[in-house]
Amino acid sequence: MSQSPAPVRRRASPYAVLLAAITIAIAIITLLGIAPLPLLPDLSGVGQGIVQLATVVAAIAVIIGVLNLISVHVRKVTAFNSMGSLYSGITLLTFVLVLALHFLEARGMIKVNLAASAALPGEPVLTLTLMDALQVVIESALAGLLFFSLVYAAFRLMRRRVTIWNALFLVAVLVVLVGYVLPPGSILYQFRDWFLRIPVGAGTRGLLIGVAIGTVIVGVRVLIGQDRLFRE
Amino acid sequence: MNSPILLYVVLLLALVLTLVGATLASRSGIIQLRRIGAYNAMPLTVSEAVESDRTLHVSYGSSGIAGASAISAVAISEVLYPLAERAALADRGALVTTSDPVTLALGQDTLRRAYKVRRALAKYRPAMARWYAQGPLSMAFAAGVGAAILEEDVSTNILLGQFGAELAIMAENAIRYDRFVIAQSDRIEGQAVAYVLSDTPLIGEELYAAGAYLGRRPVQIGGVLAQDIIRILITLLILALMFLAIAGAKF
Repeated sequence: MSQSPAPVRRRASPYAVLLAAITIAIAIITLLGIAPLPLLPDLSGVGQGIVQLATVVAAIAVIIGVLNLISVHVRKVTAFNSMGSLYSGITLLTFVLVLALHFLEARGMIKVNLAASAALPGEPVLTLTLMDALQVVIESALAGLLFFSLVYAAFRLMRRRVTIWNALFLVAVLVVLVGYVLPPGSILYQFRDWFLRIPVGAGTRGLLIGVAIGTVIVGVRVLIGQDRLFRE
Repeated sequence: MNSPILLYVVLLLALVLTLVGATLASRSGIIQLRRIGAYNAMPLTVSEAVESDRTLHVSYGSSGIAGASAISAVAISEVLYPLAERAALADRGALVTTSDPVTLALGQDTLRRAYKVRRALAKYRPAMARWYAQGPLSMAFAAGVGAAILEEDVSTNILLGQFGAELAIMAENAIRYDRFVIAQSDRIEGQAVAYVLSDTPLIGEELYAAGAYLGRRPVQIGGVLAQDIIRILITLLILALMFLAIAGAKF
């Protein structure tokens, strides 16, 4: 690409070399553990151990994520310069309240008589009910708005640039939407069914194969220590 | 051929083709990369953001370094690093968002390294990379990112990795306020939304060529060559299997 300047070649630091060595070794052991080769020793136990370790690290990382979220919102609240500060305050307050509620429920200091309590003995029913009643409902409402957002976007697509591909995209959207409305025996209904099974199915597979090839290539680059992850 | 052997054959083929491509790219300029609008636009839009002292936003979506989408998170870091290097010149700099807590660490480290290279480590803050909880439908993440786009005065949004239809919420929020959007997803519904809403979308595997376009190291260009050759081989294999099936062969 002509616009980007040529990168300066930087010498790899000892830390980066060590990082690459550890990553490559772990990657190869995990690979041999998941897909063992006939003549090599069975490393499936070690591979599974590494995968379990990664799962534990991921679980701990959730705490780091929550701390990050709190620090961002505390900074916004203390800045107090926009409506966003108010929303951050509500977020923090909700966080503290739900945490307190969960703690009290787990210690048995709050008992609720919900139908779910009998079905899920020992589970934090109140917190889960709160989650279902608030978050799932709000998220579902937001998901409902997506439809209007996407239809408007399809209209704007044609206004932005009229190409054969954009026209094809819009026709496909119309065929699928109208096909859902019509009764099962109609031609457009059957066409929609065929359209989703054959061309859309083939396109989806093509896209996923492309992603899989890209994944293999970047994976190989990581395995030979040539990825930017290892450069300081 | 059983599947482990097939896996190693594919990996070996990819390795050999990448190294051959890298050698060709380093010794001569015969490998010409085809034009991808999004990669042409990225440095320009980041330069605009720097000049107007506005924020660059890169989102990993739900690409998780500890999950099946680990490689897409690595590829997004290839995009983030050179762009953050440029954005480090500005006071506002970069904003990174993710719904995967492990990827948060990757985003922070990539930003830190980019700022360090630019000798701007004093400007770097860990809170430049932010985690938003995903929620059952990813809408919580979309709402959080949508708000951050406005609050942080983002001028360029690069939304890459694993997104579903919730990508529309974020992109729509940006477009409504005239913010530039480049989007891609490795999920089919997210990719459809990216195509419709993005000014210059990336399609599927184009994400994995980011290093070659933004970094131009021989091994990265070799990787693009390998990607293309393997794609052609798989296409030929599918066609051969199709003709065999038509001829009545049983598999």
